Formats: sequence, C-alpha cells, structure tokens
Amino acid sequence: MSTPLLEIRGLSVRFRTPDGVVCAVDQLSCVVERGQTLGVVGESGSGKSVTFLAALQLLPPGAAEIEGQILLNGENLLTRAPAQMQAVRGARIGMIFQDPMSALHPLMRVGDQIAEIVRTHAGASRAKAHARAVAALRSVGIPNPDTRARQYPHELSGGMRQRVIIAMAIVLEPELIIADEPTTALDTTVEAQILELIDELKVRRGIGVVLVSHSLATISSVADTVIVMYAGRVVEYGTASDIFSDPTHPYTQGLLSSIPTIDHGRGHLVPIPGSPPSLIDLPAGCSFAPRCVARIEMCTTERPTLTARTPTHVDACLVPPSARRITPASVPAGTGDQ
Amino acid sequence: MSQTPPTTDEILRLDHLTKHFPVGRGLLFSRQRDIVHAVEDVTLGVTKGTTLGIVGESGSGKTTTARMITRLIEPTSGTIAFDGLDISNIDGARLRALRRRIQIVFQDPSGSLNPRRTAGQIVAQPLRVHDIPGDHSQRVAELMARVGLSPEHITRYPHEFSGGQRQRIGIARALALDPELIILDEPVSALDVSVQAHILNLLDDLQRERHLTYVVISHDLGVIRHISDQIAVMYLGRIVEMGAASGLVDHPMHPYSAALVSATPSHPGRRQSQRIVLGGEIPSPITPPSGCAFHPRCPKARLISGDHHAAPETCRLHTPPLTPASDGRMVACWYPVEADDNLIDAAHAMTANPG
Repeated sequence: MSTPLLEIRGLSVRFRTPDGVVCAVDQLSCVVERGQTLGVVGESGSGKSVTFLAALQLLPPGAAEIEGQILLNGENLLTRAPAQMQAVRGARIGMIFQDPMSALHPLMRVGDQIAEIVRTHAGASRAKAHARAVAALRSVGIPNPDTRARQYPHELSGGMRQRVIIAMAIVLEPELIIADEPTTALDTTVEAQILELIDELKVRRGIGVVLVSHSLATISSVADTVIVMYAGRVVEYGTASDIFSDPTHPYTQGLLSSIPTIDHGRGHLVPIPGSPPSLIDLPAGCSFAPRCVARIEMCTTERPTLTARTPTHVDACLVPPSARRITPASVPAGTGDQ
Repeated sequence: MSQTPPTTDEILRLDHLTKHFPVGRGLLFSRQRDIVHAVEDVTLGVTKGTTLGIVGESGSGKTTTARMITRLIEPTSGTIAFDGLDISNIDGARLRALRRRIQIVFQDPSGSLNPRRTAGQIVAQPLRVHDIPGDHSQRVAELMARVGLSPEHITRYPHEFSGGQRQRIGIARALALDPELIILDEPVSALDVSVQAHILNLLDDLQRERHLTYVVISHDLGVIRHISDQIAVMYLGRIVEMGAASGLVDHPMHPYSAALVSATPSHPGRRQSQRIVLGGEIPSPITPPSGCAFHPRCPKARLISGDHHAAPETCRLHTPPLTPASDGRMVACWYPVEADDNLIDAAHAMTANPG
C-alpha cells in the first residue's frame, strides 16, 4: 500500500491552565488520501481546530504538550524544527481560515500579498511572482485578475476575499489544503460557490483537503471521509455515506436528528440533552455518557475505544449496536418526514 | 397579501414599506448623496399565532425590515399596521405602549445582555422600565423557570452562562411584558448545533402556549423552513417570493429562491449531487440593477433569452411586481421557474462563460 498523503497517529494536545490540565485532543488518528476530502466535524471545544493547528505547529511555542505523529508523505512533521516547518506551511500545506478579513493584510494590495508568498518560498523575481499571483487569482475564478490584484482587501466582497485566501493557499501548488470553517462567515449562495471551488481544486489538482466545520451540512456536501469529534476525542470515523446514512454513535445520531433542515417541516426536533462537558473536568468513562440516551452502566466507568463496525467505519461506544437509539437520521433516506 | 383584503386575525401588515439610507459622499451639504435602497416596497401580512420567516443573504434588507417593525428605525415611506393600528409614525406614550406588545430577541446573546447585571435584573428590566406593578421577583422566577433556567441562575451574571443559556435569558426578557409579537433576529445562528434544537423547541412551545406571533429573520433556510408557517424570500431589498413554507421550499418559483434552496444542504443523510451555483455576487444596494434586481445573475433569464451573456429585455428594464401565483404563492418574476427548467446547467454555463 502506498503511503497516505497525511496520516495522524495518536495525536494528543494538552494545555496547562491555572485551573488544571486541559486535554484538547486525545489520541486522534486519521488519514487523508490524495484527491480526497476529510471532513472534521464537532462543536465548540471538540478539539477540531486545535488538532490541525498542532499539526502545522501553529500553536504558540511552549503552550501545549503535543504527543503522537503527523506524517506528511511518511515524514513526521512534529520532529521538524520550527524554522523547517516554515518551508512546509504554505508550500506543501496550504491553509484557509474562517475570517477572510483578518487573514489578509489590510494595507497591502492582494496581488502583492500572494506574490510575497511566492518570493519568500520560491525565491522568484518580482515580475515572476506577480505573474503567478495573477494566475492563482484566475484559477480561483476571480474575474479580471489583473485589476483585482491591484486592489486592497476592503475593496473586495466577502466571497472575493475568501477566493483570494484560497489563491494564497494554492499558489505554491501544495499537496494538502487545511480549511478551517472556510465558509462559516459567508452567505449561503457564496458558500456554495466556495465549496464548489474547493471541490474542483481537489479533483483537478489531486490535492488532499481537510475541511474543519461545525456544520454537518457543509461537511456532508463535500467530504469523502468524516471524523466526528466530541470533547477532544474521535467518536466516529468513516466514509461520508457511513456517517450520514448509517451513523452508529449516539452523538452523531443525536446531532443529525437535532438539525433543522429544508426537508423537514414544523414539529419538534430531537435535541441532545444537556450541553458539552468542560474539558478540565471530563466525566470518567465515555465523555458523552451524561448526555447519552442509550447509556448503560459501564459507560460511566469505562472508556470506549474505537472499534470497527465495517472495514471503513469505526466508532467508540460501549453500548451494543442493537441497543442504540433509532433516530430519524438512521432511518434510510426517503422514508418520510418526522 | 396586497390583493386580498386583510383578514380579521391579521396582527401585522406592512404596506409598500421602504427604507432608504442616505450615505455621505463629498461635502456635507452637497446635493449629490448616494442612497442605499435597503428595503424597497415590501408588502406583507402576518396572521396572529403564526410564524413568518424572512430569509435572505447580507444586504437583502431583512434586518432593516425587522427594525422598522419594532420602530427602532423610521420607514422612509409606506405603513406598518399592528393589530389594525397604523404605527408608522406614533411616538411618545403610544410608542411606549406599543413596545410592550412587540418585543425582539437578538442574534448575539452576549452582546445584547448587560454584563454588569444579573440574569434576574436583566429579565426584570422591562418590568421596571414600563412601571409594571406587582412582585417582580415572583414574575422573574416564573419566567426563568419557563425558559428552562433554574432559580440559582437568577443571581448570576451573563458571563457565567453558556451561549444557549444566554439566549434563554434573552427570550425570558422578551416574554416579561407578555407581548403579542416577537421579532427573532437570527435567534440560533450563534449557537452550537446541539443547542440550537433546544432553543427552537422552546420557541415552538412558547408560541403554542401563549398564542404568540413570530417574525423570524435568518440567512439559514433550514432554520426558517423548520420554524415558519409562511416564508418571504428577500433579495436586494425586495420580497421576491412569499408563500406557505412547505410549498415554497419544495417548489420554489422565483429563480433566486430556487438557487437558495439548492444551495442549502438538505438532510445530510441525503447527499445532493448538484447545486445551482450562481455566478457573481449580490450587487450593491446603492446602485441596484435596473429592472429585476436579480437579472444579472439569473439562470432562468438565460434560458429565456437563449444567450448566457444577457437577460431578456423585459427582465433588464421592468421591475416585476409581486403577483399572486398558484396556491396562494406570491412571486415577483416575469418568467417563474417551471418543472423542466435546468437551472443547474444554465447557471454553470453563465459562470463558465463570464460575459
């Protein structure tokens, strides 16, 4: 078997705080293949963003204790010195963050911002870097890229700014893009444009994509494989159809039945009781147990480990599969409105 | 709707409501000032005890409409009638009396709660402001319990609560004066997925129990579809389509509504293969396009003209009025969507061949 593009093995991230140690990510493992999108879904505090900030060594030095391996084409990035990581970020891994306004320098023309990346990493001449910046703007669907390159961020709309960020992420032709909530700040029809663009880049260039989002709907529309995180741990991992058509973990089932969608009319949603736990004071056993309707006695004392349900589908749950809740989401598609 | 006479149980009616904001350009007294056409000729009615959902993207005018209903901003022209009374220009004591009957819940639960007051003080505030006689603490305790907060929460400050709990405080405050109409501006957008459902269920229970009328503003068609009886879709200041929630979402008739429905992911268990991806962006409300404001991005117009660079002359020159269509639907479009229109391909041809 060939080496996967990105493999994370047993990643743990802990922060020391005045109130105690916070385990933001606990023993996370996953794989991203070339030309595939891994969707990472979870609520605030689930550890979805910290995982990839740690992978890129973007956490402030000394702030966190990081364990495990981040293998890019088989090479462990965590053993690289910070200066060596610079050569990976941008060049081999492109990054897209949520808020396009704060990720752009407000006083620099957008073309110059992209060209700067080319000059820093590839040592290209000013003219050559500018030409590559314009080409990158064109490839992300910006009309009149020559004119746009001379504009400042405030002259562009939110959707255009996010395209500029994507142009910055792909200008050095990276193998992997990590996009953290790339469409959360955008309008619905603009979100559709940006997701389409990311999908197209994946197919056209064979880039691997990690898409981090709190929105199941966003993830479901573009991901090939999906991780569901809860309180710093992976609770379910499988192909998109495993997760969305046949979710097995009670948390995933609960999430899917609690979101209002355009297929369902008025009527009560089935929410997950309670709220996410504090990471400082995680319950013993399964972190989700206090909110879980399928909970059995051992859930409060024993920690579930990821167990294979099918060759592509794992989940971390101690409840026998037959005793887990049947939710509207686990009913096959098209069997009716709730 | 504009052609039908108002029914007796209609609690809110907007007639040709318009809001223009002047924006400064050049000298203060210069005659040339730009105008933001925030809301343009909005006419609609809301039946008592039901929910009207207003959906639209940034700049569609949905929030401006909500603020005019609550009289937080003054309309430029048109009228707002609440319970049969024209409230467009009332002030003083009458406006104060109105505010007891119309309340608002804001999007950001932390930004709309005073950080230096306890939850109990926040919920009691409307009672104090309106000099409501009686035992406020008793009433506050009831309200807090009703929205799912416990008695020990009364003495806590906003920062001690989670986002969902803060939104519950905002809802308790809105309920304090027993209003008839509540405007909810993006009530769950700032909340975590698993918390949203609790708030939506709470709103649903409160509506039934107290016969409340809701006007819900959101960019999220999933939320709007879930909570609304009627939906109005706004684009660049105008209502482009309005009708019963299920009918509108299942069979949108305006090409913009069709694109919005198609861009809203349906249940994640049912992946849709293709979306109508509109080209371009929402134009500036300072210089809205001539004719139908949607014509520069409209895939249906291209199907009619047979040319992916240009819309038909009708769409370019004439603003379509909101007119009744089948089953009580209102649509503002010269060429409403038909079942066999392939808008996905038409939109794709437009973006692949930008004019």
